[in-house]
This record gives sequence, structure tokens and C-alpha cells, in this order.
Amino acid sequence: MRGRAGKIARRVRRAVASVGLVVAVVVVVTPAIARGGGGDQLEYRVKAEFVERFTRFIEWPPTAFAGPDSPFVLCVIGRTPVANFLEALAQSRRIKDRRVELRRLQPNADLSGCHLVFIASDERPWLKQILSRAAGHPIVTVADSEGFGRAGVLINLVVDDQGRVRFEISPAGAHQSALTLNAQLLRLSQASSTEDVP
Amino acid sequence: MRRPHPSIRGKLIALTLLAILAPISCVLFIVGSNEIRDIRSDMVTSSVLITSVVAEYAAAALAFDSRPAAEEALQVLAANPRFLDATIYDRAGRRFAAFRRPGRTGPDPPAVLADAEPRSTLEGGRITVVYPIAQGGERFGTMVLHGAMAPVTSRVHAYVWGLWWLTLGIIAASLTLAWALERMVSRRLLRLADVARQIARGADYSVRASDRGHDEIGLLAEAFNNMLAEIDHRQTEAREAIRMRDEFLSVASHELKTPLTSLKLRVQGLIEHSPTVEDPTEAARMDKSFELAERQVRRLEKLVNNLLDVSRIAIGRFPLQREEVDLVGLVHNVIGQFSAEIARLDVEVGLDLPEHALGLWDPMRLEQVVVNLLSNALKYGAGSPVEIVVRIDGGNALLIVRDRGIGISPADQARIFERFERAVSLNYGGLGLGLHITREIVLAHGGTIRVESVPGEGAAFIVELPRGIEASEQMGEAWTQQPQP
Repeated sequence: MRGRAGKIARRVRRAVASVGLVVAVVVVVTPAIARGGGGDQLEYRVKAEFVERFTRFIEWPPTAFAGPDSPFVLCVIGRTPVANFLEALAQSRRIKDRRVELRRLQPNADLSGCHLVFIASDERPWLKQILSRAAGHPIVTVADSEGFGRAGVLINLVVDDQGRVRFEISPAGAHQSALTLNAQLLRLSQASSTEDVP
Repeated sequence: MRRPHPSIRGKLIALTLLAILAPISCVLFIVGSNEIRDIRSDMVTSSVLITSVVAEYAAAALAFDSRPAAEEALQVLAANPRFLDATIYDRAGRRFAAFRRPGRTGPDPPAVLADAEPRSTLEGGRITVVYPIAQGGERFGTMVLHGAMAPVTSRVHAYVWGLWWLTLGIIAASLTLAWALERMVSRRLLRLADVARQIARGADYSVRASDRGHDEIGLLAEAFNNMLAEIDHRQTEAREAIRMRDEFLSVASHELKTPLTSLKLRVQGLIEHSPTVEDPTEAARMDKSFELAERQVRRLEKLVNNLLDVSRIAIGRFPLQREEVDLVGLVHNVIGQFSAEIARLDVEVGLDLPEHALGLWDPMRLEQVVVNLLSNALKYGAGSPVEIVVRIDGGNALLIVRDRGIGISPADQARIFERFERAVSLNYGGLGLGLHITREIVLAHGGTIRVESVPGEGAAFIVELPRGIEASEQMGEAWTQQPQP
């Protein structure tokens, strides 16, 4: 009995895997945005919601947290409307069953306490330094700017022609860090390697 | 021929069926129900498993609002025709993505609440799995899968059919077995019973059971045949012994008769021409001796005649010289013969006789009957009164000789008419032939004789004789109408 069930499970996994993890382009639909109702504020709210949902599909190593009661730290570098929605989210939600702490940081700040860093588009000049400070730490870097994915940000949120929020995941970044990304998240992502460097 | 009920064959069939069908049915039922339970639980497990896998893959699609990705994940179900349809609901309970097998007919599956608890149910030949779609502790929606239970149903059908054919096969096998066993046992026993019945009917001990088997029934038949041979042998021996006895009886009685006749004549001659003796004392002594000799010769003659009669009866030569006889006169005559003895025993003899009782009988033989019955009554009456009754009853004459003596027990009543049988032991003399000869005489006349007795209160011998020709009957009536003198 167990053998037959195992066989079915393997067949399912093989079918899913054959689709390919990286090359798949999944259009992420956000109907409200497509309809254009609510304008840019809705776009930023969806982006903040996406940031929160990413944490559900990513595993941090246990060493990333100082203790069982230490908070999940969301860091924002630069000025972006997403920060306000992240602020509201930090007050109302728990991530990884921990309270959420939002930190607004300067570009030259130390990132070692952060679990997720949102980099605003105006930080483009300091992007390389910011990424180099994050490297080697279990930090998920998220941005919403053209070319940031190619530059080394792990998850880059983009809005397509129809106004839908999409995201790209840099597979290189996923493999290099100590983080574990859910395979389904990777499937849904858009390959960032195809993008041009700005 | 009477059939045994219930027959061995019926019992054998019932036993064989019970002995084979019961355990096999039990085993099949247990194995079948276990197997079906396993298949069901297997199907439930695999359905839940595939639902959980699809739900896992659909989690990201639901979280990031990608219908194509969710539908793609559901397409996995297309590979197995057992899965009929599946639906993914979002957190608000709205239908987000669905899979429906092409060509599947029937109504849409009922909507399931998006926050429904995980469960799997079997109902109406369908399995329903409700599974939450969640990731990282966050519930994004619910997946509902419907699957067919056709494999279970077809397996149950296969078992039922298998059981049915097996039952038929076992019934056929047990019938064959019972038939074979019947040939081996029942039929042979019935044949043996047939032989026994044949013997009981015909008393022919020469028939034999034909069973030649070497088993228990064969042994029974052999023992049966041995028994028959032994009975046959003994019966032949007994017949031979009887024949020899009868022959001896015949020869002996004839041989005794010749010198006895001569002796009787000489004694009678001596009595008639006795020498004259002067001395009166001597003369009286001689007279007494002659009288004694004559009485003993008569007694001896009677015994020899009885023996002669018995031997005649035994070889079936017992002719009757019928003539018109008056039974009443005959009774008077016999009482006259016994007058001396009656006087000696001081017995009161009561008579209840009609005027006449005529019939066509052998007078000598009929006298023998009356003599035998009266002498028996005197002998066993022990001095009590003796009563002789004669009645005319239509075409029959009735003779009753009753005493108030020791009587005859019911067991003895059945055998006193047989040869050499006596109700009482050797305290009383005689050969025990009197009643036998009496009965044979009565039977030869076409009549009957019976005894009515209560032990200690005496016995009554009742002889009923057909009177013979019609003429004698009319004459009898004519006489009975005559006035009494």
C-alpha cells in the first residue's frame, strides 16, 4: 500500500519538476490592479502583501534568530511607499510565529540583524555596497525596480503591461545564501537572468 | 420397498456441504472483506496523498494569485482515471481553479466551505477528500477532490461471483461424493436389508447376500451369510431330527401294537375261560389279578393308540370316518365309561345338555375328544365338580368341559395344545399327547378349540364344531323341538 502511494507521489513530483523551475514564466495576476482601481496605493499594498507571503515560502536557518522570542526583523532602505504598508503589516501580523519589527535604515547601515531587506529604487547608487553587506548573511533582499534582480537582489517585484504585480527570483542568489526557497515559489518566478542590466 | 428417511445419501450430502462450504465461505468472507477493506483504505490513503501533494504545489499559486499555475498543478490528476474532479477554493471560499475529467457526466460536485476541516469520506461509491492549502502556517484555501470507488465495487463483484461459482462447484462435488459414497455404503446396506426381508417373508435360508466387498459392509454381509448358513444347517438338522423322531414314533407304536393286541386277546380269553377254583379266597385273588391285568393292558393300549395317532398326525395321515353322530349320546356314553372312576374320585359331574346334538362327525375321534377333555378335567380338577355343557349354535355344536381345579397360567395356555406339552409337571402321568390329539381331531373336523382359565380357579375347554350337512341341521332342529320327556 505504501509502495503504491509512494509511486503516485513520485509521479506527481516528476510531472511538476519536468515543467522546469527557472524557465517557467508565470503571470501573477492581481485583478484589482488590472482594473486600475485605487491607483498606486493598491500596487504598494499588494507589494507589501507579497513581501509578507514570500516569508511563508522561505526558510531561514535557526542561527538567523538570536533566541526563540527574538523578532522577525523587516528592514527598509531608502524611501518607498511600500514601507508604510510594511509598517502596518508589522503591527498586525506574525511571521514565522514571531512578532515583526520594522527598521528603516540608512544605505550604509549594518544589515546583520535583518532577515529581509526591502531596497527602494532610489538606492540604485549604493546597491552594490548594500548587497555586499548582505552577502554571507541569511538575508532575503527584495526590491521593486528594473534591473535590480540582475544586479543581485534575490526577489524583484515588477509590474507587467497589464498592471499585474509579478516577481523574479535570482536562482544564483537563492543557491548562494543559507536560505531555503520553496520550489513552487521558484516556479512562479520570472527568470531574472533574462533582464538587462540598466 | 420402504425407503429410509432421512437417507444416508441425504445425510452425506448435507454433511459434505456443511463440512466444505462452511469453512471455505468463512475463509473467503474473511479474506474478501479484509481485501476489500485494504483496497478501500489503500484508495483513501492514495487519494489523500495525491490531494496533499497537489495542495502543496497549489499553495504558491494561490498565495500569489496565479490561476494558470493552480490549474497546471491540478492537471496531475488527469493521469489517473479514478480521480473525477478537483476544485481549489481561495481563502474567501471562491472557486479559484478546477479540474474536471473530460467526458465526466453527472452534476457538479457540491461546493465545500473553504475553511472546511481536512477529511476523507466514502459515500455512494465515491470518495471525497477535503484538504487545506496552507504554507508556513498560513491557510490560503482548500482543495476538494472526488474519486470513483469503481475498483472496490468491481473487486466486490468479483468476490461475489467467485463465491457463487465456488458454491456451485462444491454442491456438484458433494453430490458426486455423496453418489459415490451411496454406491459404496447406502445401496449395499439396502441390498442387505432386502435379503433379510426376503428371508423373513419366505423362511428360505438358502438365499445369500451378494456383497463381495472387503470393507465393513462386506464383513457384515459375510457375517450375515455365515449366520444364514448356520441357521440353514441347524434347520436341516432339526428337520432331520424331527423326521427321525416321527419315524421312530411310527415304527415303535406299530411294533408295540402287535404284541399288545395279542396280549389283550389272551387276557380277555383268560378272563372268559378262567379255570374253576374251589377255594373262594383263591378265586377272589385270581379275579382281582385278571381285572388288574386287563386294566393295565387297556391303559397300555390307550398310550400306544395315542402314540400311533400322533405319528399319524405328524405324517399327515389322519383320515376321518364321518357319519351322523349325536354328541349328547356320545357324552352320556363316555360318562358311562368313566362311571367307576367318577365314583372312585367322588367327583360331582354336572350336565347341561340338550336333547340331541347331531352332526356329521367321526364318532371314534369325537369320543376321543370327549374322553380326553373329561379325563383331563378329572385329572387336574383335584376332586372339584366338573361340568359338561353342549349347545347348538346355528350350524355349530358347542362342547364345554369345565373344572374348578388348579387352572392354567396364560403362558401355559399357549402351548398345552402342542405335542408332549403339559401345563403341570410330572406329578401327573401321561405323555402330554391328549390335548394335541384333541386339537388335531377338532381341526380335522374344521372346528376350533380354546381354553379359558384363571390360575387357581379352574379351566374351561371350549370346542366348536361345524355340524356338517344341512340335512343334519334340520334334523337337529326337529329333535330339539320335541317335547321333553
